[in-house]
Amino acid sequence: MGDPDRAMFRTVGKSERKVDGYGLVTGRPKFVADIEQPGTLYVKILGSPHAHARIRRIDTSGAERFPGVACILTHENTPSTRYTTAGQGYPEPSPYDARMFDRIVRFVGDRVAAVAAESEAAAAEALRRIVVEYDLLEPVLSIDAARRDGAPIIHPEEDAAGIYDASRNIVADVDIDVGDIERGFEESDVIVETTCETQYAQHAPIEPHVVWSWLDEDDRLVLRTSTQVPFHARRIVAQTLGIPLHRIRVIKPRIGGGFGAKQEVLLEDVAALVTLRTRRPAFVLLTRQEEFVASRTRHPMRVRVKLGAKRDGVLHAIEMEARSNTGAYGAHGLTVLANTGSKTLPLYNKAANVRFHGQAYYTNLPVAGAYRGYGATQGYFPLETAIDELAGRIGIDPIELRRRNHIRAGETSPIFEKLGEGREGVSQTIKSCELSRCIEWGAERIGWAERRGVHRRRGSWVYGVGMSVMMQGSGIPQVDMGAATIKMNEDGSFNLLIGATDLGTGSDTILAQIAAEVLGVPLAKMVVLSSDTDVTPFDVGAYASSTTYVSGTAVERAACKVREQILTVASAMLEEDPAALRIGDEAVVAPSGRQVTLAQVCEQAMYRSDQFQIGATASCVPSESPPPFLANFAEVAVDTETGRIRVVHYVAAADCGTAINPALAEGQIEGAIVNGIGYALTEEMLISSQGRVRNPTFFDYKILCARDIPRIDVLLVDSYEPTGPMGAKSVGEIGINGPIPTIANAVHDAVGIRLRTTPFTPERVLAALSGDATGG
Amino acid sequence: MMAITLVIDGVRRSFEVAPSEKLLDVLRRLGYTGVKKGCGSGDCGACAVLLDGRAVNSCLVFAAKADGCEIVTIEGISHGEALHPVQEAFLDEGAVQCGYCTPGMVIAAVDLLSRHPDPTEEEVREGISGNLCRCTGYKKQVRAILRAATRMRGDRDG
Amino acid sequence: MAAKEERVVDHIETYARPQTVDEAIRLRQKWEDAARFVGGGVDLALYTPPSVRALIDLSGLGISSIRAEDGDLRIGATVTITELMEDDSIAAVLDGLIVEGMRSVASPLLRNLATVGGSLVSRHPWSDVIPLFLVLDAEVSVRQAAARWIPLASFLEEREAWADGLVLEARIPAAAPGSAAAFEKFSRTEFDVAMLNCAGFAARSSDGRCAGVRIAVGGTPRLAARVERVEAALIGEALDEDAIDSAARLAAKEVAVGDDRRASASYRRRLVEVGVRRVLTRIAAGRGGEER
Repeated sequence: MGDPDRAMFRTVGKSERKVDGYGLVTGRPKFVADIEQPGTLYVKILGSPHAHARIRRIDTSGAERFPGVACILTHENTPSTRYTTAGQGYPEPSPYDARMFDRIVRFVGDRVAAVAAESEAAAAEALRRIVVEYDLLEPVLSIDAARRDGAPIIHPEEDAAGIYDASRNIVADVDIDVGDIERGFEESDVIVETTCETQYAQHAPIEPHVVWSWLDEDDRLVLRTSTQVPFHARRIVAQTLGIPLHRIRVIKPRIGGGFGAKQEVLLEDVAALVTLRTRRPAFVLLTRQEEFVASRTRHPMRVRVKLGAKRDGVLHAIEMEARSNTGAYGAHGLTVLANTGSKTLPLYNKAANVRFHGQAYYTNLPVAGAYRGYGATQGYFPLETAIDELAGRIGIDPIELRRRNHIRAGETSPIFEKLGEGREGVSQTIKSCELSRCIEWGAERIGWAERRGVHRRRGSWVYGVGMSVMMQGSGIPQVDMGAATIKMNEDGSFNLLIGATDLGTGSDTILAQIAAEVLGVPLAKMVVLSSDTDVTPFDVGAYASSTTYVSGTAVERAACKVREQILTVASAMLEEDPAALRIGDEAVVAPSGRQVTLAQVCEQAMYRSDQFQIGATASCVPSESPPPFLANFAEVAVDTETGRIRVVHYVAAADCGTAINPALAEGQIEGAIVNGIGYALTEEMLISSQGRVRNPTFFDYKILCARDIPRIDVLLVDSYEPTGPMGAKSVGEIGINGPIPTIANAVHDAVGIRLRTTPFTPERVLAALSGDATGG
Repeated sequence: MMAITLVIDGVRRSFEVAPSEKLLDVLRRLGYTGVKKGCGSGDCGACAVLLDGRAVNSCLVFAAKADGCEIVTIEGISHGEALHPVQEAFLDEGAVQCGYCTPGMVIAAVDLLSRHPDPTEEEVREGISGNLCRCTGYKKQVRAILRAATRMRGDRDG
Repeated sequence: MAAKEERVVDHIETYARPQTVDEAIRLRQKWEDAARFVGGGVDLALYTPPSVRALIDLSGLGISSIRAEDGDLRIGATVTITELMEDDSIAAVLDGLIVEGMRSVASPLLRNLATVGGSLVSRHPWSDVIPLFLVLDAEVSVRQAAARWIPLASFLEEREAWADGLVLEARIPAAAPGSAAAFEKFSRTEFDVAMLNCAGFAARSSDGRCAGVRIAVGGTPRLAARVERVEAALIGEALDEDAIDSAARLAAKEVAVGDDRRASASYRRRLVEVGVRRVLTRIAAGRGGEER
């Protein structure tokens, strides 16, 4: 499209109301559970009470006899195909280690059986009548336990595939290096090393996982599901159940949040099989407890970072070693591990010597999966605190140290090529980077100069400020694909059909804005239909911060093709050279000022002359993944009497390229920040010595409420990414990576302690304040 | 089973409920799908409705307890096509992301503003403290409610 | 396959809505331990024990008002927490102590439903209402065959004795001039139960020394209780920094604390000391309510 004058944009760059907003704010039936199917069977799933066991015997006769029960599934009557639940591009870089129902159960809550009955209450009652005899196996309840010689093997099955070394419970192993790391450290003047540990956390979308399946009037299986990955869901269900893919339709309606938890095929297989066997609709909805225990979680990790720098603070050697707990199944185990390095290390590209190595381990614990940030969150914790320590050791301002080290436009990093999504990555040169401006604006807004090193006191509270910088990516280069179809209607409106998955992020809206901008119409004339595998073209789905950049480019391309067609028709109508025509304000205008409206153009093409459907499909496979950048600043207050940390003010200055819809871009960052603060301060899944989650409720798993949030300022720095649609990059994930290191660094400024284990509970802080070694 | 009568969104309705049934489940099975279930334990607020003018977690109200009461769900907040100022403000401020918490939050906001037409930011935060949101971070929702309050007070620049 | 409308047998057989206290008592006598009184119903909606077969709703009994009588404030058992907070005479108690304390209870949605009576009867160890009412020297009127007033602490302790009783009202005596009170709650987030809470009250004589002191600590994780040894140590003392400090440290020794999901025992021990110190410091300054 060239480099347009963005000041001329009519809809891109405007905080337009969401196209689906009206229905959401009036509570129209838009979510999976809102539209009933007559004759529905309600499905409940029996979860294992044991962390590791073999099912010796399962007796479902009591359940079968229970009134209202229509179908029961166990390992004895379901396909034994191994697959991955991970919603990733095929062939998935996750092991095929899951079965619909297995003989072996591998975590408390793992599937044992499913009952479909006339009512939820009947299904729950019937579930209680299933008698299971278990042979208990020794559970592995930590990474250290998984690594021990002679540790029980969690996936010994012969038919699993893609596990790095099942005999040692290693799902994935990554080891890459650039230069010579040992020599790099020898040549460094200052060395800083830190090890940080992050906890089990859950996405806690307010809508739990849910699916409604039925056979349509042509006997095709329809799955209406709360998913981030409709096309992957279709493929994986077809594969797992051994049914033809073309007999399945997956529809994603409005969904109530995902954050990565729904980048997974978690319930669709069960619902589908119940429907296929009974020929009746099936409804599966996880309870909040099941959502915590038996859906997906963040990967707990222990990550060590060692930095070697020259006296002037320029990094010369960086080593990152990550140990990840992927839980009972390996979905996303390799890719999250790899992203821990691939989304962090390129940021500091001055270091000629870099090593990233790590393993992802199986444990008999809740299954970790995709979660916003996807490893980068865990990696930035030690990286950005080590850099902060380095600044202290050398005696320069942390901001200045970032300035001396961060990547800039025109530069590259060897890490881009070495480390991709579980395999080699793709080399790229940064084409847009406004991180310097982000740092400058953010520092000013937080009042860095006035607040840093001051240790202001107010009663028992001591104040401090800290900062961090980061990058993420925009889609998975050469792997992700998104496509869009646009067709025109005779009133000058368009249908935009996109596979891209709106989880509430507003992708329907921003993609419509892109198309509307190209085609010169107001947003209301762009009618969006998304995420229906029968109707919309393919899209990998909402993950890897790909939608704006990848799907957006597909939309832009499709819109350009359609614009060409419109101009061709208009040129015949106006008898002018198409190259001389301009499109805008719902009309095509000739240099003379004569014009035809878009409605007239379409009417011409639909009814009058040389009729054809004005429309086009276009795809995008990105060749690079231009990173958004973020500078985070926080002012915290630490209560030295209780250890409580209060975030007073949080500033995030972002370079996401063109913000297609500034309010939605801000909203992504604001939401990610608050989630990140919870991850930093209050959220923790507590696991018993038997591997059971002790706090699977909002009562005891504390996410932030409206009274907990600090003053939040999101600053969108003007930036333009030439490879992105209208200059856009991505913004969905990066915000969540900031709070942990930023708060940790601010706490250090306030009270001089280094926190290295999340969450930073008051107890941990107090222990660190009193010099207790275990506290930090 | 027992017979109860409720006025729901302005319409008087009589029906049968089990003694232990909760208002949330009754409303949803009657088709009021704007009332959302997020936890079933009073922790998330997605199920909030007005019960005789007060915002409550419908998942914790015995339906039988509500006999004779007036219920307003999100569908009763707007009047025909005209949105309530809170709803308008939510749309204008970008305070709706996935929208799952939105009905409950709008209900809580309407209750708050009926009692505190000129709330401070602190009072707004407190007013929606029982409505968990995982998408927005609350900032735009608080701004939307303050903006709606201004509009409702008839200030010109709301 | 069963018919579409079949339901699993509900162990609750009846939801009754008596219109008089006598009727409510009669129903309780009929159903005995299989009956539960319903205020807001929050706790019962969360979990109804399988042995419960009858729910007796109290909202029609006319015990939902707040009034002054003989210098006391009388609070009907079915007054909701929100109604309590909105009442002018309650707001006037000890500089708004009750209102401030209630602001940290749960959420406005839950406060619109939960009742004063229910909050006392449920005996939640993390209750914020109970320690506040304890230091306000509250009594409850419990109706069994007849109604009688019992100190709240006794009511809480003698669970068995009052199990079949119906709490009709709470009464709070008027505080002497020069009294002050304060409340402190420690929790993980702002919509959370206490990992520890502390309420305090002191009446002072004309020379500024404590004539009466009541301190209650809750969420230890046990049910809130008065810390009598600390109270006794403060009688006749001026509330200066040293006295407050000793009292706080004594409380940390006296109050039994334990581990649970919310906090460890050792951390709670620290919070007892901090909480008591903060509460007494605010009382000494004549400031009520909770510090933010």
